[in-house]
Amino acid sequence: MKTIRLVAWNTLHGFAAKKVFYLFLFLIVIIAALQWQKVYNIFYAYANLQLFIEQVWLLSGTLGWWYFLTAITAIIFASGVLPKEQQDKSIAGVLAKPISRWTFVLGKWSGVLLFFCTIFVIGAGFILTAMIYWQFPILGFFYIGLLHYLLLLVTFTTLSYMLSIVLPRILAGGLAFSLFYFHTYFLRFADGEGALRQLIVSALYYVTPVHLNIYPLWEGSLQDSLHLSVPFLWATIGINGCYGALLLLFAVILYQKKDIAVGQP
Amino acid sequence: MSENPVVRIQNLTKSYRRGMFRKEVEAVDELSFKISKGSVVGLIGPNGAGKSTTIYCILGMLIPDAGSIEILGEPPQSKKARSRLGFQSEIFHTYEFLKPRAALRFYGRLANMSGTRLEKEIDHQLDRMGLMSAVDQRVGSFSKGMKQRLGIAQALLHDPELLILDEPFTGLDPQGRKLIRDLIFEEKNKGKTIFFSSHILSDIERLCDEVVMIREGKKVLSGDLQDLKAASNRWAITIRGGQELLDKTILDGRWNVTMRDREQGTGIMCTDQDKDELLSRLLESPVEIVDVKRQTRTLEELYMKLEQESS
Repeated sequence: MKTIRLVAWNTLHGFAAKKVFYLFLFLIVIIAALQWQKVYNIFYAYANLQLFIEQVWLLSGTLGWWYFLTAITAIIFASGVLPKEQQDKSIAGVLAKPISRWTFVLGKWSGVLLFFCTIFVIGAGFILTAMIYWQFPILGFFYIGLLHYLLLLVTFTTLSYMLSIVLPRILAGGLAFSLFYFHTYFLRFADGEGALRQLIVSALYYVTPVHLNIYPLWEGSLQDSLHLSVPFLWATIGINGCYGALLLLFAVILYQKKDIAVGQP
Repeated sequence: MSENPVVRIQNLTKSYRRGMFRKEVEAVDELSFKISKGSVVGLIGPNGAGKSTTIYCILGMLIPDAGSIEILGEPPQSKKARSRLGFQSEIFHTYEFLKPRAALRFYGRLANMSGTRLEKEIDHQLDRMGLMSAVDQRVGSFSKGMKQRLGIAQALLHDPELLILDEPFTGLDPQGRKLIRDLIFEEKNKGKTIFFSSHILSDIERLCDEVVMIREGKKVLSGDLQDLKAASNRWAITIRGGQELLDKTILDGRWNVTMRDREQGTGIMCTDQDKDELLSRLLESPVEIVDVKRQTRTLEELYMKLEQESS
């Protein structure tokens, strides 16, 4: 545990030292401002629709966009965190110490997740604060959405991280991003004709974490959960949790016997 | 020297797949050698000879295709073995956002150090490496030499029995090189075992008791440096006269003439083993022996000779 904590803290420190992320945090202010401008106008124009509009815009717009941005960045950085250590040779100094490879893999993973989950929660906290300030009613939907997005962030980051152990960085990030971004299309195309097409698309659909979509109220699993199908929500959380844990297990196993060719990507 | 070697490598073989067509490249081929306790051993060879591959196999970062490696009686992946070794890679790369004290604290904790012992050792190593004046700078702003010294500091932090250095003199100015040389001497005097690779043969010659020379992944030679040099020593004999008999009768195709000069005479080169035979032949012949000199080969000359022979 001590090694995992040390490596995780070091990774977190490394990300926090990158100035680009402070600019990234500023983006949430811009996103929120753009969305709320619309919310605010509609809120007063159509009082009877206020709840729906507020939730749609705030959840699908602000929080959804914030999740989308954080997840993409997390996928990109998670696919590079191990290859970069190998390429810039800093891994050699660490793995020459009396530590197990699995603690290193878990430590790096924890550091990446901790950083991006913190970023996401800070953004969500900002949205929440603004909602309180504008005296918008905060329903359970917001927290469910937050929880679900957080879980998906963890799952997709883990997916990208795991793929980077077996694939070149660019391919790992690209594949994880494709699964993240095009997931809903897979389902749509799976209904089309052609057995092979259905097979490929269905396979892609089932290897992707259960996804909420950018508009969680209109389609996707959150819609079901909001219609009081609570078991479905927990099932979704459970599936994603197991999926993430399985990916992490693969990452640890694959890294145990991997050649660490220092200096090469 | 102890009976049990600190490092024992037997028939180590490692190949890579490289390029678009994943062509197999043999980096190390059936390499075997031992490192005795308390010795300083240098690993030499041209670029791409397999020096770094050998070192990373010893550290357990590369998994050998065949053969075995033992470090202090343990397999390379063993935490016990790695807790007793210190490693510094060619141009030490660490986390550039850290300051030297924080970097050493990180490596020290990974090596199971903590508390006052760690803090004292950090101060000692920073002082020893002349980095005290740079404790407030981030490692990212360090020069190559400073990074290298920090790398050595982290390798020595937990007082390891075995020190493995991959090209420790790369990128260092003469002062930096002297500092590392002195440090290797100090550690040797403390009874530590040191194994390092280098291109700088004069440093290897000055520091090492033993050398292992590899080329294209294969061992070209290994052993005690003084013995190797002695075995390759030559005698330069200068004679005058007897030219008509020299090539056919005296030298008989066994020795080469290295110089033919009317004023200076004729130079013949021979080894330690056949010096006496050649001299007795010369003494029996109508030639005047002008000079007999022992020529000691430097490691660089020995290296170049072996390089020429193998290519």
